Amino acid sequence: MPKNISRRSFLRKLGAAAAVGGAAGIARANPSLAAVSEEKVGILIDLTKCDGCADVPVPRCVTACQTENESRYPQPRDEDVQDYWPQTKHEDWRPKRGLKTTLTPYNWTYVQKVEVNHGGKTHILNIQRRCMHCDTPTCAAVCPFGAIENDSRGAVSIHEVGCMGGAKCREVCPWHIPQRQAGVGIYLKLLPKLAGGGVMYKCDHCAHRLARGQQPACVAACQSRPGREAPLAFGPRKDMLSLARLRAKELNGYVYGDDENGGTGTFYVSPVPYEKIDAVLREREKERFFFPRDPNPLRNPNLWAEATLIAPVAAVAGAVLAGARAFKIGGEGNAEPPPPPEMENGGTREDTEEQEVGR
Amino acid sequence: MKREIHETDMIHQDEGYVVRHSVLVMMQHWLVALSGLVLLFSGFGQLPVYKRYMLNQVPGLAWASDFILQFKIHMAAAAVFTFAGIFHLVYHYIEGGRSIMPMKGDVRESVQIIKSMMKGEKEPPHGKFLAEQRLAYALIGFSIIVLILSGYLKFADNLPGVTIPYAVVFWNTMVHNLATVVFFLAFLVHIGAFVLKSNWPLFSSMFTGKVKLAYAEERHPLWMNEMRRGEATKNRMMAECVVRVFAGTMVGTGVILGAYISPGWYILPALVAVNLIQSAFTRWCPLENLVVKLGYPRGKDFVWKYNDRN
Repeated sequence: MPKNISRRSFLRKLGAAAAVGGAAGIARANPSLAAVSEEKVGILIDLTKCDGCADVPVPRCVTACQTENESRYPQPRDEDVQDYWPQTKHEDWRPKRGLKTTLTPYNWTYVQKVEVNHGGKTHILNIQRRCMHCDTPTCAAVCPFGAIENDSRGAVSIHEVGCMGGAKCREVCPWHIPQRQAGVGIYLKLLPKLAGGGVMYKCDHCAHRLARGQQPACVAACQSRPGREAPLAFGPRKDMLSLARLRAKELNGYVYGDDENGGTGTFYVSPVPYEKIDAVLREREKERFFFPRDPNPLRNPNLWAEATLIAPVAAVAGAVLAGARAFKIGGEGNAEPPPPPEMENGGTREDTEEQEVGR
Repeated sequence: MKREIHETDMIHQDEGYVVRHSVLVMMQHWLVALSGLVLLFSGFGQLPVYKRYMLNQVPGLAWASDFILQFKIHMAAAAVFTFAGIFHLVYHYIEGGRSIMPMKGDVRESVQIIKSMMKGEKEPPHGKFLAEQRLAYALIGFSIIVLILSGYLKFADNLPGVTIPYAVVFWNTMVHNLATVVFFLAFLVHIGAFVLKSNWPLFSSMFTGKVKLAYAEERHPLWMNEMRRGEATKNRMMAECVVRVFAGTMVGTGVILGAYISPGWYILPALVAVNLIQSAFTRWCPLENLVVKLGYPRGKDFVWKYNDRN
């Protein structure tokens, strides 16, 4: 019965108001689920339930994301969008501003469509893609300007004010999520020709909504669709994870995001192994977003922690040993009385040492 | 009397040279220098500049634009850098050399030295180090301390389960970057000093540990006087202080490892606590005995002379 027990304790956590209907209904009934708590939050994405909003041209989560965040989209001036010298290219997504089928600085989430054969069946999957909000985000760890915040709720956001647009975060991200727009940002005020490339944009888990105790816009929109169980659920990260595992067990399916890159705040549940989804995506010519199984490249920090903590201790120990040697050679202090200059210099010190000890 | 090379601040009248740096000092210098260069290269490699400026297309340097590899190199070099930096501070505290510490009037004297160098006049008499060397030491040393401390904080932030407030992360990153600029500029000035021919003997002394007697007499008469009066080395540390340094290091390390790695490490500060208390009553401290055996004087036997010129 472990399944029931954990589900029940989960329900209890969500409170009385939430105790209506299934997992998806829970979050719908209580939009200020995470209250304004500082607890880490997560999103569960049940791929068995998502049809990519077949009833509307653009999925609700994508539209809601745009409505919520449009005011923060980049607005460069034409003359500022220039090549990254000495390279003869730059990244300008303005011509594709309306593109809703991939991630751009003007579109922070989209629904990826994949057809996968598994277990003698063809599964048509609609997968909401965006930032995974890692527990230990590689992007935040290596940003040379400290522009990426990993806040107490687990929302990973890029702060425009510190971002030089080097796109390092995109390179180290296992999913290459952040997207660059040239011609905006702090680099214009420094050496725009020589350094920097714009600002990086991505989903920030609607950090501003979380701070108000609201759920992310995409989740709210997903759950507003009438007459269907919502594929997106939002709540405390650990509860979303146990729910995802439960659901995967029910389906005889698979969870993704629980230990990718050392753990994330997004948990996909799929009836198909992610290796198969990934394989289909990799066959596509222009696909940009995959399902890698990369471990966090900055993990095993314990080894480094020990090395960098051992260094100072070893230094102190070594210095004390070496210092003792200096003592034996040089004596305890000043030569007294001063040796006559014609004597071989320094030779008097050991004599002096004996005198001092003798005193 | 035949003496070994690592005895620093020694005049070898007959052989015609003066020992300026011990082997240990040269070792510290080169550890800091080499790990510092690696840190600069891998640190700049944390910016996306090597790819943009196509350094990674130079044969053999394709790895330069691999951020994760550069990050790991940076961490390894940081461990060496920290080792050398702390070794330097503790060793020279024990050993007592203070001749490189900046003194009052060094700024004025530096200006005077540079003026006389440009005019081709005779420089004022120097101690072991020139006034601008003492200033450069203070600047580089300060930037190194800031770099190590801010680097450790950055490192702590990357440990899983450690969340440092974002404002601290942001400003700490700024401080680390700014200190890098200071360190880099100071490094350029340091290398630039060897454009001047008068400094060449000092350059070679960083490899051999020696300078010619005639050079030392001519340029560093104050140092020669100090050595002849036997004053060049002083201010030694006593056994009790070594024990305190050790106890503090063990407690600090144990607490940090206990908090972030495994609570098992708390045994370390606990053992130190027990031993400190019992030694107050019994005066039995195995570490102190060991340290005394190594050659450090016990406090009671020791005449503490900070600076007998004062």
